[in-house]
Amino acid sequence: MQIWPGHPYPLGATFDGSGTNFALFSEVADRVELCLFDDDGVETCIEIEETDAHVWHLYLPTVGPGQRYGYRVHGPYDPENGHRCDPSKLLLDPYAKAIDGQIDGDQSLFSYQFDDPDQRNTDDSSQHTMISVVINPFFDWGHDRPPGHDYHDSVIYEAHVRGLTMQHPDVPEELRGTYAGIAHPAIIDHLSGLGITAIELMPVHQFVNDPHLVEKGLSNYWGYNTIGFFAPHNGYAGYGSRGEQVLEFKSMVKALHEADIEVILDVVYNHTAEGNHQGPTLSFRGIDNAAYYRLVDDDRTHYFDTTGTGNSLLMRSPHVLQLIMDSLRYWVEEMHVDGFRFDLAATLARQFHEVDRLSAFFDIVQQDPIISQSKLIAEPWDLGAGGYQVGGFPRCGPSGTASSGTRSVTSGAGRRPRSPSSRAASPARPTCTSTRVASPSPRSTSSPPTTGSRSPTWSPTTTSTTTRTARAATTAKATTGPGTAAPRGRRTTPRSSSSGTGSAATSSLRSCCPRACR
Amino acid sequence: MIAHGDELGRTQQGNNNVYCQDNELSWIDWDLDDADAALLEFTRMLVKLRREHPILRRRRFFVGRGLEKVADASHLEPATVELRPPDGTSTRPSLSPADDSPPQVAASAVGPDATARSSAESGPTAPGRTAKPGATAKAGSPAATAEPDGPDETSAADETPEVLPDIEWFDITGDRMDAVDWNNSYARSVMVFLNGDVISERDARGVPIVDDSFLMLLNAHYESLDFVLPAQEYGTTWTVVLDTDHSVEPGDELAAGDTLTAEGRSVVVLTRDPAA
Repeated sequence: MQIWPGHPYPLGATFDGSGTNFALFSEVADRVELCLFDDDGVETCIEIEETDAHVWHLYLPTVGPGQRYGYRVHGPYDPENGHRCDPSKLLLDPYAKAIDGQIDGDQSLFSYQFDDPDQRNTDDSSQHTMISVVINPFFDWGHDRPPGHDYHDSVIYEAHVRGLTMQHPDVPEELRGTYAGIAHPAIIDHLSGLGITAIELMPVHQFVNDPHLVEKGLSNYWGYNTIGFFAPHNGYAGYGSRGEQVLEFKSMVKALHEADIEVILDVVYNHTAEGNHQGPTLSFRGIDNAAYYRLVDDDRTHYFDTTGTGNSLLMRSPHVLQLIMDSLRYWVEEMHVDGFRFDLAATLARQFHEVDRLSAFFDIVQQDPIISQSKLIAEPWDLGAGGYQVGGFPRCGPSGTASSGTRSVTSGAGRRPRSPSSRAASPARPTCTSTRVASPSPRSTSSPPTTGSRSPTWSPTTTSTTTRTARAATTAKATTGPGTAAPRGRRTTPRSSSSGTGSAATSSLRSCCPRACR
Repeated sequence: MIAHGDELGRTQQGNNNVYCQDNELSWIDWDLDDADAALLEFTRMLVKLRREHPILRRRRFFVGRGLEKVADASHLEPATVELRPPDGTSTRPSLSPADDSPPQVAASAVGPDATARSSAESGPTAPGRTAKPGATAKAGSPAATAEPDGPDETSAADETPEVLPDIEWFDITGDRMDAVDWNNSYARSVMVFLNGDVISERDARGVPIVDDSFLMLLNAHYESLDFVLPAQEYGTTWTVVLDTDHSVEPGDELAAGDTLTAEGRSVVVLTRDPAA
């Protein structure tokens, strides 16, 4: 396999039409491996040799949409100092545009032993966790345009993808509970007949189904438990979860726009699904724990939690702010959504300790030409001190209240230009649109049996046998069985890049990335 | 804002937090019975009513006063401003916000029709509310207000609005709410008047927005209550738009001072045309 140095920007996996650039931020890492999974689940790891301003990057000219991948980050495991690198865990790309599979609560997902939390657990998690997928960014948006309803004309309809469609008799059974189900004329006719101007979807960012709920025969229905801020939740995909969910989501937005209905997303940027210090190692925790999470100042083993979920993102970290803003812009520019409702927005204003209306997040939203012109609604509280902020969020433009109990952060005229690049990309019809599979993908989640020791936030199971339904992993077990220390499949010999010395001196501002694809 | 299913009777069996209930408890049941279908039809009607009436989807908050007291009411003058000639004279007053001349009241924003006003001056009015002599003359000649008013008239306006405010609150006797009413701990009912004649907004083409006025009777008490409609300066004739308990039907007409019995836990909405 050819390995080129690639570029540190954009972050994530970016398919440019022929190959794919991979870029991952980690300041704390000593080494980073990019791990590719083939259809049989066989893992191939590639050492990333290029680093610019803490962004590890490479370009694979032969890799394209549908490729499943993850990272293994080598670095300090030193919880007392806030570091939790653990290369035995396969980590999700924080910028993954699509995610395949669901976690199953297995012991291997955790970096400690359930029965002795002071002991490390270095079992390989790759057969029990979710996997990032390279997506095809191309989509024919046709004449899509934002409906651009003014705030005062808006009637917002809050809906859940499954709640809205699961029992509708006119929606084909295989599309119930899916993005395609919402796009079905039976649903859109109902919305149009009602006269609403916007649908506000309860969380559709990829979320984690809490094992302790699955254990009880329940599941996380609402989905305020995000792990992928760029990926449409694969549990709502009707056509497959290896990138097909992105095209399905875009088709849904397009159909709603054709009916003059805006799409607003309920977004959860205040915390992640990795829970507290006893949570699993799925992504951020293992990539650069102290850069992503707010830790207790004089006790960096523990997470400072204003959300009641175990952790809070570190809102004074430039990399967290970049992640959130990149995510917001991605959903507007690439997915064509029209606005956002911020869950527990007071947490986003906690740059330091207090809820600070002038915190960096609002400054950045205000100056952003794309996000400031989308519809923005704040849930005006969180669980921390001073968190109740009804009426306290800034209004940056002509504005008004947006909904009961919420208030607009910013309002705009509603008309915004689409980025020229995304328009330009439209005519190039994807080769991948034809790869939709006819049968619906299995819904997320297997159901691991068992009981186990409990932690306040996470209830890890002690099962040794688990089942996976979302990922074809049958053959993989032969090569990467659980229980062995950091087992790998076939490993590609690390290769030197062709321009190692040259790029080492390159500054972080280098951005001659393969943007043509966007 | 509507939570999905509210429009057709989704109850979740009283469970207000179904975060882990991925089942029929949470999912919309599309098999509508007659009550569900009626609720859906009612919701559609409400959305339509809101769409058709800018008074119900204002861009600006209410201020509780008539237009002449609205800080930026000067923008409601006709939006044609002649350019100042080179010699510095002007054929019309400047309309800049910094201008000291008092805001002008648009002809359409005077309030109820002449009949209502004249009778309001001579006939019975709500307690504590006395129509101010001269109000008709002033309001009737809007162009004249381009000239500065005397200070006495300004202070008089503080006591009694010269035109009806953009919003007014009444108790069920038809009297305006006073401080005692607002602090009444057992009150479960109120009437609110939304004045379509003094909306401080323009449409996309710069034309001041004028709409029908509305009177809403809200009875949160569990028993029926008799509401007396406000004095006729707020409207001589009202037409029923909706009644959530069908004691009156859409299209029924009522007059100022009429008594309407609103059923327990019901809302009645009445409307009248804009003032002439």
